[in-house]
Formats: sequence, structure tokens, C-alpha cells
Amino acid sequence: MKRPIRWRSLTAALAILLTAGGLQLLDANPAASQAVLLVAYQSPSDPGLDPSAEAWNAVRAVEVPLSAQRGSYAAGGGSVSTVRLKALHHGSRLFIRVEWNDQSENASALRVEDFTDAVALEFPSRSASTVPSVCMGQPDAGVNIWYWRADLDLGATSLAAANPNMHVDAYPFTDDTFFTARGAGNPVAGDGPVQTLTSHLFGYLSTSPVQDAAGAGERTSNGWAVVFSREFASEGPDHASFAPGARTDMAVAVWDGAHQERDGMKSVSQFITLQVADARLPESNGLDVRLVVLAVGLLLGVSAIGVALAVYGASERRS
Amino acid sequence: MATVYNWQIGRQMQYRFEAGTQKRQFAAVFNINRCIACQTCTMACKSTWTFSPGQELMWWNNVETKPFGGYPHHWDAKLLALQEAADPGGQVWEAHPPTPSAPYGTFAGKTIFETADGVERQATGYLPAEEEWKSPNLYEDTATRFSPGGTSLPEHSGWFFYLQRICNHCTYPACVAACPRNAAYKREEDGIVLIDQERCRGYRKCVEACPYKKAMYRPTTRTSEKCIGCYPRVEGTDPLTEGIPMETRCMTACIGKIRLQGLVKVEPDGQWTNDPQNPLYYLVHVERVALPLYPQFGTQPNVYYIPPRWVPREYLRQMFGPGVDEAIERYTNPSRELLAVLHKMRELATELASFPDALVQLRQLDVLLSQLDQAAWDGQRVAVLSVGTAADCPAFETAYFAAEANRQAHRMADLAGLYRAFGVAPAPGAGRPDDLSIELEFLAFMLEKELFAALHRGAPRVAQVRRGLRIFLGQHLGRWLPLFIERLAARAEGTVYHPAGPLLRDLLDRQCGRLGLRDIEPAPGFDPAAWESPRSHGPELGVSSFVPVESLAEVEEP
Repeated sequence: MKRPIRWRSLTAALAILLTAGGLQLLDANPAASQAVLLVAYQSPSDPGLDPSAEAWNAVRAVEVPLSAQRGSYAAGGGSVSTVRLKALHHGSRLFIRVEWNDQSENASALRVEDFTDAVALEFPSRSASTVPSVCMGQPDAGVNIWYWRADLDLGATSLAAANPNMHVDAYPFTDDTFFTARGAGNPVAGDGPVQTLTSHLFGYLSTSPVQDAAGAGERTSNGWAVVFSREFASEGPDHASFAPGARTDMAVAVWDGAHQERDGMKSVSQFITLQVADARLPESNGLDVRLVVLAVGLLLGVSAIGVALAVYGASERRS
Repeated sequence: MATVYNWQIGRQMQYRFEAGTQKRQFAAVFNINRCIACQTCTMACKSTWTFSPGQELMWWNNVETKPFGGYPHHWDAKLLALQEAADPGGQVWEAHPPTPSAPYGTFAGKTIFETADGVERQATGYLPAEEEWKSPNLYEDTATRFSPGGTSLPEHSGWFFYLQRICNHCTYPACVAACPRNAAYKREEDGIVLIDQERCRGYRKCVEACPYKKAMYRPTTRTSEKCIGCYPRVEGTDPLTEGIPMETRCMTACIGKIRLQGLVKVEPDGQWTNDPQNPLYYLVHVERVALPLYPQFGTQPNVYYIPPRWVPREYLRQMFGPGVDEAIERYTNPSRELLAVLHKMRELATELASFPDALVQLRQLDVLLSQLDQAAWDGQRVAVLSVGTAADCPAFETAYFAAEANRQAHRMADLAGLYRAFGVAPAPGAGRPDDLSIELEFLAFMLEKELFAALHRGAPRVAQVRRGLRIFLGQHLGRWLPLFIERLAARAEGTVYHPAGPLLRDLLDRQCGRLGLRDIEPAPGFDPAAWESPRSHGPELGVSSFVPVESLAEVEEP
């Protein structure tokens, strides 16, 4: 009797299919440490800072897995499991688009318990003597960080608007001295949604004297899409530099305000490779060759399995 | 993690950073028994530091009614519950007789640092929501019992009391431990804990970790701010202080005079240097009448409370530790010294704040005087101050203007005129008008005159006295006293006059600073070799006194 064996293999096949389907549905990627390559081709048009710009439609996204930061105080995060990255360059500027799913929109830090959604890209400093630690760099190899926060770009920053019934007789002084952090030149207290930062170790995140990273985000149907951009060359000490034909490392971190994520409490990627290709974006002719090959292959494979099963069944019936 | 000593819990404990770099510590004593919750301290702080957009819910100083009140709501009950959950039944004290390094026994439970994992949190805590900061005076004057029919004495079972709270500028601050980027830090020179507004990134880990909830989030700058211990006043760099270190706004504004603040010297292990002359040390360590707030949290807070006598001990022991019973006993039946210190609480503070080295000098003087009899003292006076014998430290003005010999008569006349202009003259037989004792007495007279003018005569009269003081210090005493002090330092070593140098220096600096006198041209100087016929220059340093000009006239015209 060979019947029970057939059931066993069928169950195993079903289990594998279900697991694969489940992982797909949950956006989880168990192969987290695989090397990922993000290629920035030259864009025929200027994509600008608009995440919905036409230019991005022609670019295929690279999916990068994220995990909770458990290495250092303050550990935490892990609310966002993947980001989808796209990259382009135009003129002498690099553009990187990050998109991720986040059902809750947290674009305010007006109450003490409110934390904003945010995203950051990290690159090795051009003066790094070696590949820096992905965890905020190391003393001899710094990192350059571009940080975008939702509240300062698209969210609520007006205390009066958030508290319509608030009454104050008078504020005697309103110059920057009395907004102490702003008076001290802290960019957290500034208006810009993107900060250019550098770091040489956990706890050593610093504001760069040259603020040259730009960016803008938009709320998508189920998350955020943010575009960062900067000139290839930068004056900033410890900034990254880019050039057509050159590769560099890049990592991503995402904060979900709904889970009070901030600081080290974040979802982070490993370093991926960013290649700034000295070539134009390949023309898209509607159908991607690789997709076609995959579809044909799948079709052939399924047919072959069907035929094999039919032959096997017939032989079983005969015996 | 480092191992540090926390004397308030009588044992070593784990803390994120090493101890031992600190030299002095900001500390204060609050007498709960005398507080009427008028909130003058609260408004003094508010109107000085937190009146700007985004600081509406910020009260660095607040006074809440216990047991139900709290800012933010139930901050202490919530943390006590978290600690109890982390160490069920274990948060207890081991009693033993007081020792200097463990005056209240030993805490056998866990501090907020010891219940945290060190990876997600450095200290157990929670982040109070905005709602909890919005009504700082909820449950004000709410007692534990209400009797609709009223009660009559001695029955008085309902109770409440006021708890005055500022940042404790803890020796082991949880906010400093919790800040992932050292934006919160503790100053070496005075132990004041600050948040660097340039470095802060608004992570609010300090707000979460501070057991007393005195780090607060400011939405308009997206950073956290906290009580700064009025550090410009403590330093004496605030323009209002005119260079003299002062107490914080909340301390000086207190109309009930319940507060006393100063700096105490600390040892490398965080314990206070034995210093019984310092009223803070005396109240905390000698009498043990002032106790830390929730010492079991483990941050070694530096505001000490004289607990309220009428509150059930069980509640007080939870809040101030096992030292409560002894503290209340001593406060209720005070020793003579304690009574004096409590009575003079504010006066002492004012004096000490304006005269930081006075205690050292006075103690030195005390030691010297105790070894001295009248004859020896007299001998020292002649040896040090008499021009006739040693010409060491002449104690009169013209000795330092010997180079302007032709102007000495003018100088004497100028002084006499100044005295007369303000209505006094040296009593007949008091000696020369440029004698140190006469000039100092005139200074004292003018200061009293200024005070009287300020209290009763108004600004123009105050200005007039100050003009006189500026002339007197700028052209007379201020020109030669520094030279005299220098000579005293060099030549009076070991005598009873030696400690007078720093005291005089302090006095002169204080007065010149206050009156805006800078760069006074020094006198040409005393040159013993050029000093001819010292005996001709009149009497020894003599007994002197001023008399009113009117009475002098009576003497002159009989």
C-alpha cells in the first residue's frame, strides 16, 4: 500500500505552500542577511522631492528587511518589517525614495506621549578609514545620516491649533532666546523636516555644520513614502560622497510613532550596497523580460508536475 | 554599570556612571510644617523661567497636596506600584542604629536602577501623558476624611499636607542615566543637573526615568527641559546678583521662610563632608531632622524635608524612609542649637550666601582667640599693626600715600569733610581720621544710612549715600585697603589678625562690585625705608567712635 506516503508528501507540499504564502502576506523576509543591491540609474527627468513624481514609476523597488535594534541602549523597535527602496540620479543629484507600510499616521509630537513617524538613511563618511559599524559608526569611521520626521514635514506643529480652547494672557518674549533649544541652534527645534547628521558611536549623533540633505514625504494609502536628495559632492565634514560608477554602503532605519519609537528604539536594516550607475535607466517596454521568463518557467513547471502526477496515477490504477 | 555608594539607603548600588568627580552639591531643606501652599515659590519660578510658548504645562517648582495631589497626577503612587510589581514584597528597610554612612538603616529592596534591564531602560519609570500634567493642583486641600457633622478637638482624624517640589539635583540622577546621548548632565562644581538644549533630541527618556517627574517635555522646541537650580543665581552670574552667589528664586521668594538652600561639600563617594557649621549639614546629618524624598528610589535626592508632625507615620515612612520617627521627635522637642538654627533659617541663608568664606575665617579666628590672653593679644597688635615698633602693616591711610607727602593734609581734610558731610565726626580724642578702625566704622555707618534711606527716604536719598560711598571707597579706603591686606597676609601669619585679611578682601570686593567701582587706582604704596619718623604719625590703632556733628558742636561751644 503506497497511499499513506502520497498523503504525507501532499501534506508537506501544502505546508510549504502555506508557509510561503503566509510569509508573503505578512511581509516577512526570513532571509534577512542576504546581500541587497540598490542601483541608482540616471533619470531622464528630474524626479524632484515629490514621492509621487512620474520618474519613480519606471524604477523597480528593492525590498529590504528591517529588524528591531537590540544591540545597544535604548533598545527597541521592530514595528516595521520592510522598506521598499528606489534610487535615481539626475544632474549631479542623488535621489532615494523610501516607502514603508505603517497603518497609523503619527505626524505630531505636540503631546509628551506623542512620537512622530520618521525615517533615516545612513552612509559611511567619505573620510572613514574602514567600513563603519552600521550601529552609528565608530571612532575611526563615521557615518552620515539623513533624517526625516513626519511632524515637521506634513504634521501638526502648532500648539494653538492642537489646543483650540487654550488661553494665555500674554507671552512677554517670543524671540529665539526664549525657545531655548532653538536659541541654542538645535535643529530638532527648527522647522526643517530633514536633518543632516553625523555620528562616530552610539550616543554621539551630532548635527552637521553643513545641512545639505533635502527631502519630502507623503502619506500613502497604508504608510509613508519619502524622497531624500543631495548633491553628489558635499562640503560637510564626515558626509558621504557619491559619484556615477561608484558604490557605497547604505542602511535604513524607521521609527513608528504609534509604538513610541525614537532614538535606538527603531527598525533597522543591515548595510546594503548602493550603486550609482553611470548609465541611463533601462527603457521599459511594458513587459519585463525577467517576469516573462519567470511566468513561462512557472507554467512549464506546473504542467510538468500535472503530467507527472497523471502518469503516476495511471500507473497506480494499473497496479 | 558602576558600583556607587548611596548613603540614603545605607548601601552600595548599581548606577550607569562612576561617582567621584563632584566637589560640591546643591542641597536644600524644606520645612513642610511651615508651608501654607501660597504658591509664591511656584510663581517666582514660573515668572522667571517658564513663561514662554510650549511651557504652559511646565512647573519646575510645584506645591501639591498629599496624599491625593500630585504633579503629574499620582507620580509617586504609580512608580511605587511599578517598583512593587518588580520586587513583590521585597521593598523593605532593614533597621539598625544610625551611622554616618547609613543614618536611616539599609534599604533591602531594589532601586529604580536595579529593577531596570539596562537595555531598554536604565531606570524603571513611565512617561506621564499630557493629561496628567494639565491640572497641577488637582486635589488641593483635599483631606483624607470629611465629617459632614464636623469634628471637635482633640479628635482630628482627617489629614493632608503640602509637598513642595523642585528638581532634587540627585547625586545619582535617573535622567542623566537614562539620556542615551549625555544631553542631561550633572555639573562638577555644584551638582546641578541640566539638560543641554543644543544636544537634546526630545527622546523623553529622561521624562520617563526621573522618579520625581521633574524633566518635562516642551512641544514647541521638541526637547525636554528641567529645573535648572537657578544656576545663574547660584553662580552669581545673573545680573541681578551683582556678582554675589544667591539662593534660587523659589527659596528667596518663600514668604513662610520654610526653605534653606546652599552648597555642601561632598566626598568622592557622594557622602557629605563632615561640616557641622553648615546649617544644611547640621539639619540633615547632625540632627537628622530633614529627610530625603523617597530615598528608596535610589537617586540620592538632595532636597530634604522636615516631615509634617500630624501625618500618620506609616505614610511618612513610605515617603521619607525610616528616619521619620526620630526626625519628628527631634523637631517636636528641639535641642537649643536646633531651635536656633530653625529660628534663624533664613537669616543664616542670606548671610552665608553673601559671604561664602566667612565660616572658614571665623572658625580660624575662633581657634586663634581660644589660645590667646589679653596680654598676648596686645603684643600681637603692637607687633603687627604698630608703625612705631615694626612698621609692618600700618593701619592708616596716609601711610600708603607717603609718596604724596605734600598732599597728606589735604587727604586728611577730605576725609574729615566727607564724614562731616554725612553728619558725623570722629569723637574728640578718637585719633586720626584716616585710621583703619575709623574708616571701617564710617563704612558701616554709611551702609546703615543706605539701608535706612532705602526703607524710609526713597531713591534720591539712597543715590546720595551711594555717591558718598563711591567717593569714600574710590578715593580712600578702596585705594589702600588692598595693600594693607597684602601686607597682613605676608606679615601677620599665626596672629589673630591673619584671618581678617580675607574677610576685609571679601567686604571690599562685595561693596565695590555692588557700587560698580572697577579698576580703582591703588595707592602708591607703603615703603618702610622711606618712612621718616614713624612716631610722629600719631597714635596707635586706637579706640574710636563717631559722634553726631550736632553733639560735637555742643562740645566745642560751651
